[in-house]
This record gives sequence, structure tokens and C-alpha cells, in this order.
Amino acid sequence: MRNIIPLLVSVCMWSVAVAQTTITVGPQLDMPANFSKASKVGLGGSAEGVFNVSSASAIRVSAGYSSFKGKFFPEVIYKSASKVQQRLALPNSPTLRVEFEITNSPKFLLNGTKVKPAYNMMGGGSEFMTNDPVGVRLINWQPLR
Amino acid sequence: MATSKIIIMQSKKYFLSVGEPWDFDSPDGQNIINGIIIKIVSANCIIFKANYILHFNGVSGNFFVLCPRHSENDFDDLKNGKDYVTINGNVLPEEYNENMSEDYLKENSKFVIIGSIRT
Repeated sequence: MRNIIPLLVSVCMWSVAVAQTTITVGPQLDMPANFSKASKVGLGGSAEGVFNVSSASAIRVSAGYSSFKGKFFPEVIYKSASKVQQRLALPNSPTLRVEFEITNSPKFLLNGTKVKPAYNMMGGGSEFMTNDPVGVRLINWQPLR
Repeated sequence: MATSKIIIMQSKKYFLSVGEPWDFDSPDGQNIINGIIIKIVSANCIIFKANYILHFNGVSGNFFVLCPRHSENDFDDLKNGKDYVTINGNVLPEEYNENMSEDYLKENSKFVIIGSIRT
């Protein structure tokens, strides 16, 4: 049985290419299959952690910057893309946000660490990072504008 | 930063682990840039020279201006035993030279990657 920690995070997603059809959440991120939103988007899990979303766009975990050497998760549920970009001092503007609950107990290498101001962006947002597998329960997702 | 510590950092091998863009590829593989630290400008600015020229949305170069991403870290952490520091990375679209100030480097480079510098 999994440990459930009371941590609700939002993960912002970046649109990366109009031709792609996958959401990549990292090979270790355990997401439930067949999640749906308004009957329009279905996610199917795979061992590689790649999930079909739709044929129209590609989305990916942003603050979860790649799975190569760790994943990042912001703690605040930001309300706009520009706010996310400003607070997390990101080179690109996010387009989607996913809320999920972490269902296991990964060891965090960064635990609420503050992002420095950079390149005229205010920073101050908090980031979490882990190299451990992360179990999640999807709660919601929506576009960011 | 003491001279001896600078020498230690510059003689060690480091690489950049690229998290953003998530689908980054280099000649060395996914999410990795191999190269060398060529200048420690300050505890908050390092010049990293990649082993190859890389392209980011119309900006190309093999010199990267690295700054610590998080408020509680700087590059002194590397010499103090930490094996990585998360970074914001700017590509410098010109040849680096010693006369470039930290301000010039930051103003004339483009923010293109988030990741970490690692041993």
C-alpha cells in the first residue's frame, strides 16, 4: 500500500510542438491510465511514461524539467502563464497546468527552494526536486493563459 | 573564491544536465552537454565551453554563461563537495574573451536552458 503525503502540487506544462501527440512526464512518473477531461483528452500510460493526449498538440511537464537527473515541482497553483514564468524564472511560457497529488514518499533534493530573480523576472517561486519515482493521482488540468 | 579552489574546479570534469528544454539533444546524447569550465567569473557566474556548437531557436554558440538558479546556492557549493548546482544557462552568441564583464555576459547572452552543472 502506498504512503500518501498531503502535498498538492501543480505542474505547468509547456507546448513544445504542434505536431507531437504525446505528453511526457518522465519515465519514472507513475500516472494512472485513462484519465480524461471533458471527454476530450485521454491519457494512456506506458512503461516509458509517455501518454497519448490528442492529435492536436503536445504538452509536457515543465517544472518537472526532464527526468534525466531529477524532477521539479512547483508548489503554488499559479493562475496565469506569465505569473508562472515570472515566479519560476523560466525561459519559455507555459501553456497548461496539471494538478496532482503525490501518492508516495519521494526523497526531495530540493524542498521548497526559492528561485532567484533572473533576466528581469522576479523569481521567488519555490521548487521541489527528486530523483525518486513519483507516484501521482491526477486531479485536474487546464490551459494557462 | 580562493585561487587554489578555482584551480580545483577548473581541473575537474563537469557536464551540464539539461532539464529545460526537456527534449534537448546534443552530440553526446539526450539532456547532456559535455565541456569544460573555462572561467569562474564569480561565485554566481561561470563560463562553460561546450565541446560543440549548439542551436537554440536561432541563437547558436558553444559558450554558456551559467548562473545559480536557487537563492541558497552558488558555485562555491561545487568546491565544498556538493556534486551539482542547479543553473540557469545562457548561450553566448559570440566568442568569449577575458575582457567581457559579468554584466556584459549576462546582457548579451540568451537564457536557453535550465539544468544543473555536475561532476
